[in-house]
Amino acid sequence: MLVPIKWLKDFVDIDVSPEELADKLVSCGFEVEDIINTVDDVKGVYTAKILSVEKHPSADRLIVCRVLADKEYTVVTNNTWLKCGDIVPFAADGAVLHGGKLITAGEVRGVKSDGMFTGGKDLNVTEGDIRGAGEDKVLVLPEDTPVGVDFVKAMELDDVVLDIGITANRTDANGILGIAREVAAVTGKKLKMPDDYMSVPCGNDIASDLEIINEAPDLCPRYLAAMIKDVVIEESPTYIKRRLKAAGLRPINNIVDITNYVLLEVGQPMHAFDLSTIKGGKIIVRRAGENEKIVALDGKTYTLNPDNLAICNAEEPMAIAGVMGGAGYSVFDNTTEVVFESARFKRDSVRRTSRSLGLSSDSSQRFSKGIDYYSQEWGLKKAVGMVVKHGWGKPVSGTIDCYPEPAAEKKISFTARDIKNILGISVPARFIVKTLNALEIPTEKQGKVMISTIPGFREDIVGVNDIAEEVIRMYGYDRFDRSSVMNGALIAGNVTKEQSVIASVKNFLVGAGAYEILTYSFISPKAFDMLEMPADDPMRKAVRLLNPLGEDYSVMRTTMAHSILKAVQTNAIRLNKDARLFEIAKVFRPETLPLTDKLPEEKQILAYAAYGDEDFYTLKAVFEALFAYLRIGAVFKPGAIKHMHPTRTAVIEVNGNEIGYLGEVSASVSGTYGIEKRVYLAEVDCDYLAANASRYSGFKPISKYPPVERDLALVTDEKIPAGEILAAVRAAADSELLTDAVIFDVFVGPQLKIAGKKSVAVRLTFRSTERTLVDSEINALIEKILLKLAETLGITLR
Amino acid sequence: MSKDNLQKFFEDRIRAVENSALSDDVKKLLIGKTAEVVRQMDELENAEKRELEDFRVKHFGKSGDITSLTRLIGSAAPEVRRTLGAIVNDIRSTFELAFSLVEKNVSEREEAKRIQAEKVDVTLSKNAFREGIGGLNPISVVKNDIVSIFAGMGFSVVDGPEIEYTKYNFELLNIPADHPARDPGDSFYINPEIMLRTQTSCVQARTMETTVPPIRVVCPGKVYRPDEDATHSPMFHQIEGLVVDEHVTLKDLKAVLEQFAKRFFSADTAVRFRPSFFPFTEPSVEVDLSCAMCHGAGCRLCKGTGWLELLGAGVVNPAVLDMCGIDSSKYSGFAFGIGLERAAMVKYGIPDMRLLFDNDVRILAQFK
Repeated sequence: MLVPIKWLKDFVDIDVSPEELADKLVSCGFEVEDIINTVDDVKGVYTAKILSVEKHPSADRLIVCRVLADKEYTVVTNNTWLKCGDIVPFAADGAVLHGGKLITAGEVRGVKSDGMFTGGKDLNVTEGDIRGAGEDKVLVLPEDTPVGVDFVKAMELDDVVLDIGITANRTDANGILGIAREVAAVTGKKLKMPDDYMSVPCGNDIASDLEIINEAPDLCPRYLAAMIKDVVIEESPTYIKRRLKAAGLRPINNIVDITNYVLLEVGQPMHAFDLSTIKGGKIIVRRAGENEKIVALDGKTYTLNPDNLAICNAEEPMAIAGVMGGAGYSVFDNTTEVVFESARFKRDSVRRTSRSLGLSSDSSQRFSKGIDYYSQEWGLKKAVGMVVKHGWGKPVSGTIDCYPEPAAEKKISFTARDIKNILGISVPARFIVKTLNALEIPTEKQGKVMISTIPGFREDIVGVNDIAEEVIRMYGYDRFDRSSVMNGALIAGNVTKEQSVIASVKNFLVGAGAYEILTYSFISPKAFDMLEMPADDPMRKAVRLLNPLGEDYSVMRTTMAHSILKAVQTNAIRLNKDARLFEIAKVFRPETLPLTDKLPEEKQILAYAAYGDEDFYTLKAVFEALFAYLRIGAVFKPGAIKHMHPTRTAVIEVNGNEIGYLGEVSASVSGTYGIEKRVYLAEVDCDYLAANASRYSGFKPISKYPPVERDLALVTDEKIPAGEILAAVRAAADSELLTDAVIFDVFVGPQLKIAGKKSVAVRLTFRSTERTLVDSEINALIEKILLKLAETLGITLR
Repeated sequence: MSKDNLQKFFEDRIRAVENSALSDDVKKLLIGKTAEVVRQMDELENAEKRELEDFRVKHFGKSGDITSLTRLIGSAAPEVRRTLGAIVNDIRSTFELAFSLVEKNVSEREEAKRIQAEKVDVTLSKNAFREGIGGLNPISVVKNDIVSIFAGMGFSVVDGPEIEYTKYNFELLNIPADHPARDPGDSFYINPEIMLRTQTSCVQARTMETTVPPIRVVCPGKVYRPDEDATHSPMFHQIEGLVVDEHVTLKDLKAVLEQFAKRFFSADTAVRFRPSFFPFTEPSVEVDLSCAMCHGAGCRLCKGTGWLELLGAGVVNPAVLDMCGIDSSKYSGFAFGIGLERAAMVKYGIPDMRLLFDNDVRILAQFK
């Protein structure tokens, strides 16, 4: 919120610099985002009165003026229309104009000129500030302008504006008055109410011309109105226009300007109706009818529905409550009777209406933040006071106040001890009482107990904790002493096994040369097509956001493949020659769609991708090592995954559970992602890893006897996967003496001379923990293995 | 023993033989052999290991000539046997000693030659880690750092769902249905009751609902809000802290956050509270840490203020405790929330939040 310091001074004396004031506001909870000097670059410009005008001796289009500013000067100008007695801005030698232009004295066609006259643009003032300032010529100032003083000071243009961030709880501070109250408390000054807050005269004359019927007290808990007769519609004085303009509001006429002025000063949005447009003399606050239409002040037609609150006359809506008035019901140049509306509308109702109509206004934004019951009266008082002070009309006696359930007076009792239990430090009771009273929260002390009466404008204060906050923000957050032992029980910190396994997996993959990426959980629904998933693939069953940032971020991912392939794409198209990437993140798999009351399953998936100097086996090596590290016995079986290379993909099984896949991405999918190189990809159920990993599986003594190695050259059917051969070897041996079996060579080729066969070299390691093995034992085992291999898989020795 | 010494030693032996009572034949044999071996040993100076072995066999082997001298002893006359024995053994052991010296020289020389031959250029590199050494995302690094600091202060780590009921994201955190924070402009919704959590504070509510105090937890995780620019991402990370116990106060919050700040940045880091507002804490504070770059002097990072705004915190609102089933007349608590992206940006001087989601390995390689 923009707060001009001069405006604050209507309410409170300020004798500190803007910077000091800003610091004080920050320390009590009002963030000052900026300190703006409204006129900061114009210097050395005076108001000057023209004493004489003469023709230039050698130029017809120039005149020579004698002017009085702080002393007499001579000025040569081409504004030949200027006359004796005009008061104008005069930039003397050395003056600086808006934008930094420096003025120097000089000679014009042989006549000395001590400076120049200026227009509004050079002074950073506009038509709204001073009449005539918008024109592209020398600005002639009003006749009563003091002569010979600094222009910026004379025109009261030198203000400092604080841009203050208001926290959501302090709805009362969304106006100059509310900020002034804080400034008074924090600077130790008294809050003074200006004399233009006035009540209407006693009586009830208003009732003879107006009736108010509130049919929707749930959306409008209070509707307060006053009436002005003999209204004179005219332009507002400069100070009002300038203050509205500084806040970004456009001056219109005195009555409309009053409602906007009140919005800025009190924080209460108001509306002014021409009484003659209130058909039937009735204001009816009601839900709009289905398809009821209104032409708003912006000239557009809006179609309302029963979710929208409307302010109606006996026949039709005159305003969209809290959002915008109707074009035919506001104040016109010939208006003579005005009804001021000062109401409280429910913030969510205004917000929803504003959003559904796509219509936002200063009023709707203000209502959306929430408004208290106190502001309606003060807003009305200010409006009436301004009318009376400027003689713009006569208030009719009495107000109409539809306020079916007035807010109950709220009291909070507490002791200094209660405050200490919240803050942890002792604040003297005397300070507490003084501070709360300074904040206009009347508080008295009765023995040890303090009792605060919460004023209507502080709806945020509901309990002792709120009181504690009022106290500490004034007492100072820097007054905690530094030593503190946390109260309470001793607890050991802990991470769960799942969390620690996931941390180990990440560290392992880093050790394998991979970088951890970070991708959004929401993806484009096109991802499923890019991954060539069939129409009925369960992965397509993704949770959709109601209000995504865009279609590309509209569904919660069910697979990590898309996200990590996009990261590969980023690297590949930037010509990074290789990369290993991984991410562990959640995928979201709903049981049914649309979601009803059950949250979707959230599963952590490890995604890994690599490209560059890679092949299937470099990929698999990483995962074999990872599973060994986690002590998870995984088997890799040829598998079919839609987006993967049909003959270069394995599914990963652990104890019969399929926990993921790895392999080469199919050429068409890589192509879709714009990746020219081969991409290797894996997705593994990380929750399964976390649950089933073990750090240690019991102590095993090591053998002190030597191992014996034997190599076998086997000839097998080409179709039998190596893994199956090894499994068969182990099964055939069925002996703990066989401690290792690895394949160290596979050979397919014409030299083998048998079509459809391959040669597989297996190295077997035998070792006993009890003795040195002898040849005969090992030969017997090998015999047994070969026999079984021949029997089950038709494998022979080469 | 130097070569000259050795020469002198053998000359002495020869003189001793000449002066002894041995027969001339034996004398001649001993002197002749000794002189021969000395001469041959001289030649060994530049020999290779293999030649040394030949020499050893020839002279000290089973039928080596020095060995054969000892056989003279047995066949010598008894009166000279003792003298002969003494001389022969003396000669033999001296030769062995001399030979071992030669052996040592040769092997040292050969070792030196091998080492020279195996010289590598240590300034050359062979990239064993082809891809570089990999790295955690800066968000993980910062999260790990923060979690371990709080674990050291007795906090446990808890998780919660990212797709969440509005009840946990709002109602139980004292954010009523008409609160502006519930606007679709500020939250992603799936339906009116289910949403993407906008804050890890949901996990607070879930923890309090199921745990009897004392509670001391941190909850790291992803959160979602519809903003996107240099300092906002629609998905980002927070770490929430919650303490609930008897007699917990705002002062304890400040003490804990001071410890955190000193560990996370440096021992001279100061903590400043500014009043603020969050619906689920009362009093609420914005917490500033003295700037990690300029230590409070004022710099570009802290925009000249000397302070970095890094987290929000406060005393748990008693209404929240009560709604989550904890007796607010007995227990109190404090909570805090740290934005991990902001923490990473401050710690590593990253200028734009979007870089954290860029995933270019040239960026990722900068963090370990």
